[in-house]
Amino acid sequence: MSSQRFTRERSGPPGPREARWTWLLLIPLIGTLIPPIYNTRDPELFGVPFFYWYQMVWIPVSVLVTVIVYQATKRGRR
Amino acid sequence: MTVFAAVNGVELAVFIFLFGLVTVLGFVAARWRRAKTLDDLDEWGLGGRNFGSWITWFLVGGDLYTAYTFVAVPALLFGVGALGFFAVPYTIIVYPMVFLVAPRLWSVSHRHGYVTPADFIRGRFGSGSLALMVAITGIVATMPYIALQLVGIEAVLKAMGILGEWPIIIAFGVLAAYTYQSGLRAPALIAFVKDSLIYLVVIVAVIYIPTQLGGFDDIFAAADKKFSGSEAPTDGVLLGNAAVLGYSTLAFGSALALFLYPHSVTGVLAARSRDTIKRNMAALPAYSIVLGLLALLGYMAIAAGIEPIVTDGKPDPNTIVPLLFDNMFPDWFAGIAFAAIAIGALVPAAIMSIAAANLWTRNIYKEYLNRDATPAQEARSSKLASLVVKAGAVIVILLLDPQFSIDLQLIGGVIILQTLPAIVLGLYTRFFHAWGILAGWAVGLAAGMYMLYDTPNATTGKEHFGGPQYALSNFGFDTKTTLYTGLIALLINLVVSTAVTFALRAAKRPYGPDATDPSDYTVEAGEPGVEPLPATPEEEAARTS
Repeated sequence: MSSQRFTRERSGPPGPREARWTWLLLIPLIGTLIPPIYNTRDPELFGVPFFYWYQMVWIPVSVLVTVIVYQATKRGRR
Repeated sequence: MTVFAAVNGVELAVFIFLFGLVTVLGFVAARWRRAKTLDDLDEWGLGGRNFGSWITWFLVGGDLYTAYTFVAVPALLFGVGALGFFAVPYTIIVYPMVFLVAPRLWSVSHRHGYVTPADFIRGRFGSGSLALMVAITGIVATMPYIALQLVGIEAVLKAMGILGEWPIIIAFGVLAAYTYQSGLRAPALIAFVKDSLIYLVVIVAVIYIPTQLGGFDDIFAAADKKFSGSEAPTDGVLLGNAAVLGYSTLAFGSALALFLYPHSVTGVLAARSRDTIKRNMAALPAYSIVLGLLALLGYMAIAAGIEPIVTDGKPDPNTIVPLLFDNMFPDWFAGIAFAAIAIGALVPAAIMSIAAANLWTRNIYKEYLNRDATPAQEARSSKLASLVVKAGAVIVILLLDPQFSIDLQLIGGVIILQTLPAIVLGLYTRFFHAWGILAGWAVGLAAGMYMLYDTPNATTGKEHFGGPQYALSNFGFDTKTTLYTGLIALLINLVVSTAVTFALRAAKRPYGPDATDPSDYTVEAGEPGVEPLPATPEEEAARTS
């Protein structure tokens, strides 16, 4: 069956080029797990200290990174 | 403010209406995406393994962001300040990490029909002892988590002025009944209502409440004033120097632990495809925004002058968010907010009890008590176990001090982390010997328990189990720095696992057989060996004809 041969191509571990993209997933960890970067009051945003809004900003950034890795590592489009 | 405010009729009516609505949904769920039968674990325990992106998003979101989170995280900021905000980096970094791991577990589980994480361990390491260890650890860590959902409901009831044990018994009785009937479909369907309500309440709260309190400037100023007036060195609007590492290790360790909980695995395995999971990891952080905004409610409560309700002479900080809603919102909206939190307790409690019940059935009942169990017997065993688990949670909350379940939950996080070498590393490598992992687990567990026991809490005056931070000065370091206890225990665990593995290799002790193949970890739905289950009777008919 031709469809089976096609799916078999999609199987197997991702190639080295795809695997390289997954390193991007480290970015949110580095951005949020080193508190000295952001453990300050200023600059404030709408009265909210930097500590709080900086970490909130990482939510959309993390989404962006995950989407990029997802798109880059997707195998064999139908 | 009077401690036992009279029950407000409007609040109560709205609350009961919404609670009644989800009860109906819970029972109707049995007919939703109808299967030929609910009498096997793929259907009852995993909702047919066929949830698409949207349902998975609501289900996993409803699973991970529990009522206790909604109540306890703001309470933590109310109490200690910046430290409580660790929940935000925690829920940011968890998704990139799960993005890597969960699809592998999904693939291998779908090819081999695994229902629980312990099923995978059984196949991967060929070791019944290791599978039993993972199953028992999972059940023990999940039980107090279910009990804590009751603490969330209790906080809301207290704020409404409803006291006594009956309301909680009724709420959990109803929950137990529809989970028994509908399985994982019930929380999946209710999660839609829960999340819609939560989003509504949080958005309104963070826009409306600050305007009433003079803006965020005044809110943070009030928090500053409270913390600078207290003697504890670890509180404040920013992290103290000694708390910096504790903050990031707690966020990192909690993120590692989250995926190991059986109920997270249940949510992942119920997804239709690998792709569904990956897409969800990009979409789930939407909940983290809600969580971050919710956390700030703790400071708003400070600015609004909220004092926690005192029961039996002890202030209950978990009541501050419900009290804030009660103070700030008109009655009808406070009713919606209370219902949102209470319903938020039902969804995770249902999923957790299903996950624990599946572990019991697959890895204890079928493995040791009834090896030839039919799928129908498995389903019945799980249904009954889900009732037992919930009854146990109610009894624990009613008979014991709620503080006890909070302590247990703290311990639960530390012990579930000890299954990381088996489950997460096991998805990537067979380097570790099963007995090496078991040895690491035992030592990590003992070390973790000892460190928790050895942690006093200066604020509450507790001598033991005072919190998740262990002071490095205990190891002879001249520092005030603390680290997350679970992470220290995990490091010890990994060292022991590795050392024992090397010793067993040197002694040429054989490994158990591996039932999985490297290609099993990357297969997608529709590929050979991974049959999608029919979603509807029509599809079923079309497939068989």
